[in-house]
Amino acid sequence: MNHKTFWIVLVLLSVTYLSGCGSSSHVTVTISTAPPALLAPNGTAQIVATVTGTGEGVNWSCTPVGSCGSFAPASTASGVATTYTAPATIGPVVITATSEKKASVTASVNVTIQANDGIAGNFAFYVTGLDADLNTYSLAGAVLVNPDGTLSGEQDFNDGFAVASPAGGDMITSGSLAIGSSGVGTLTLVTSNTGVGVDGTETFTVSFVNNSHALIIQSDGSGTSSGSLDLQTLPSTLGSNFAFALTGVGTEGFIVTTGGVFTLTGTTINGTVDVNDDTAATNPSLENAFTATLVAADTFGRGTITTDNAEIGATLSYYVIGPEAIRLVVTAPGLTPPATASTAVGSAFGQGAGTFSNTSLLNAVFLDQANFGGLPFAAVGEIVPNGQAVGSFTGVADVNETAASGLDPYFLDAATIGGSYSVAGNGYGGLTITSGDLLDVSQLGIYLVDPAININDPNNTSGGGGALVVDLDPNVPGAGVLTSQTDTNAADFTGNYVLGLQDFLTAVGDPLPLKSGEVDFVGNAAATTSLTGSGTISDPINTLSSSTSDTVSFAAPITPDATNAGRFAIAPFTVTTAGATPVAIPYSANAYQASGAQLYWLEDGADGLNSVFGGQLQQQGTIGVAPAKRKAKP
Amino acid sequence: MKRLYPGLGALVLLAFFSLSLAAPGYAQTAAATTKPANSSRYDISKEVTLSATVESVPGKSSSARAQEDFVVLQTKLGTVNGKLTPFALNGKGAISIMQGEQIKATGVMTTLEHKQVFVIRVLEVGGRTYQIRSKHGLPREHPAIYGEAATPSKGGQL
Repeated sequence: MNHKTFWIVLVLLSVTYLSGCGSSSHVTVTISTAPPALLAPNGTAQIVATVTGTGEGVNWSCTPVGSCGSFAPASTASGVATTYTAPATIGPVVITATSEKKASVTASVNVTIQANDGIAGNFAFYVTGLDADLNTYSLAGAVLVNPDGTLSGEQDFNDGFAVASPAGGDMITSGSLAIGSSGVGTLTLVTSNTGVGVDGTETFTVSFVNNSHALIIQSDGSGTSSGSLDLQTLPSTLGSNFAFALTGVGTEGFIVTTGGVFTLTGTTINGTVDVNDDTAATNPSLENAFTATLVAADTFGRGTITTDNAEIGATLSYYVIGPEAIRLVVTAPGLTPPATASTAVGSAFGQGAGTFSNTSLLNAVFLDQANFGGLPFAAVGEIVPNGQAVGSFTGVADVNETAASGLDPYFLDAATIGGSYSVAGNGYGGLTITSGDLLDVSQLGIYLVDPAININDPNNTSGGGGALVVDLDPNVPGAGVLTSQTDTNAADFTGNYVLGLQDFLTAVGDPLPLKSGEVDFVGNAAATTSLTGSGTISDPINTLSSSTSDTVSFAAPITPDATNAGRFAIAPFTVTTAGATPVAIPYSANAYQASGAQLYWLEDGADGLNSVFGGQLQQQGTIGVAPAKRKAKP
Repeated sequence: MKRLYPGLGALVLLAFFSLSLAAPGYAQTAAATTKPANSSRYDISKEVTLSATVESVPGKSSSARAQEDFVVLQTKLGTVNGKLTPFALNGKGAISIMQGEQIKATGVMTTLEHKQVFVIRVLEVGGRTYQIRSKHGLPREHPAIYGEAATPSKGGQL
């Protein structure tokens, strides 16, 4: 080819190319309404393509061909929706809208077919409560939730009397997690132990606060309990310094609570523990040294601990959430009635650098509560420590010990409290509320954690700091948490919340309760000037109604305390069951705000219900992932 | 509020005053209508032991689940509302108590919701002794498991 011919050909090619570009530029396709980035198997979504430059519409297609779902209709005009139905199988799908006018003009979007809004992975869980045979039980475990919602895992169950998992734990052979877009759903665990749940299958109602944390209750009628479900980081190398607390029932059948601090060096644990056990010669028993040996965790994050302290428990299993957070459960392998064993469950949290003093205890909100094995009570309050070498504090708190306590008064609302406290260098501390300020609640063991750790949501990078709490008063053994108070602005108690409560009903009332027993609740609500929402109450012994699990709704006014910033009345908090014969439970409650994201609440004894609940309100974050990203190809 | 055992109030009061005369040690506590805020829930120093006949026990559901935890006792001095625990008569570790049975109960008379009740810590029934509460009055789960052969009581009886 000579130069002249070359240039002629080049010019002709350029004209052709530009002509083509000019033609395509008149037709564009964009996906103006995209589907979610994640869709459940067999889920549906409306998708809209907008076409310009032609009156013709688009044809819908997807890959991988044959297993990517379907469209109805398969062709749409510009601006008209098609309904996409996802396939039954999980996996990535590319959805494409192709111009009917010009096949080379397309727009596409990626969708992942996955159950539960993409919530999957390894999760650890724990609960404590009362079974239908009136045994306090402890349960902790871990599950691997697959993208399709199926799961497998391990757990340790122990009621100290009739049922306990073997030394290796129960296998969770199958099950499912199924949640909706609000984060509310069901966790079903099929185990190898026919003594737990309903013939070996346990069912929990879950309410996700965010993608890595949910409040849970067991709600299958075999028992009722409250706890947490948290995403695990596996494997994790555990930190060195921990604070811990456990609540349960001892070998003599009485409530026992323990708490303290320990140091982990290799596989050796050395620690200090406080014990509240009314069968002990000295109660409470403080600053007891103990040692223990830790066996490394398996692939589910389950390991074991053997201690030399019977009050803590001779053998425990632990479940790793992350380097600075583990769940603990006392085990009783080989338990055979009529023998008894201790049962307890709790947590240990890292302490970071592990250097503390009285200045480490900041303004805080606390929750302190019994289990049903003790004398029911709950206390919630806020404190302002002085941060001095001789520690003292002031504050305000509510307590409810129920009418069955025989105390008069048996509850206090917004009581002024004061007292002293001390925190040692290892985070071991005590907080003494002046006797009489808060009825029986006076002597609290406080075990400080890493200020970066959120005790209630260990994967949350905000809301950290505080302590685990053990109530060391012989009259009211209990356990709880103390969280740094960073925001008392009433306007920040707003948005969507996940609510949990554990309610102990002490005597027959009129009209409620029908019996003494325990019920647990988890639900969702929107907080504005009222708390409006719904949830599930687990009531295995029909304490409140004839159903073992009820869907309930409520709309309760929220009234900020004009005198005590950070305190709210949520009253009347009337919870009404669904169904043909609704039952109204006329609770009243008061709440204390650590921040807009975390509040603790308790039942106000003024409601006269012969019951007391304690629990949490956690502000709900993002559930699932953002909508799919769109890609246009001119 | 629905009252337990309506009509028994007068008998309970009679029993209470009779017991007060017989055991002045706990009369002060029992007579108090308002306790100091930091009072002990269960004052073991005020304990007495009653010999009684079981007049009635709460009904049990077929599933042995929690019911009311009071038992009505007939003593020489009158009728007493005996407060058990949620675990005493319910669950797999429940104690068997029959109407008409002779029992001994060790506990403290106190006021609950404006009623005089006898809070029972130790129960002797059917030739066995069951501790159902701790020294601070905390309830014991599945108490029947811990039952021991009864031994003769020493003093302090009414």
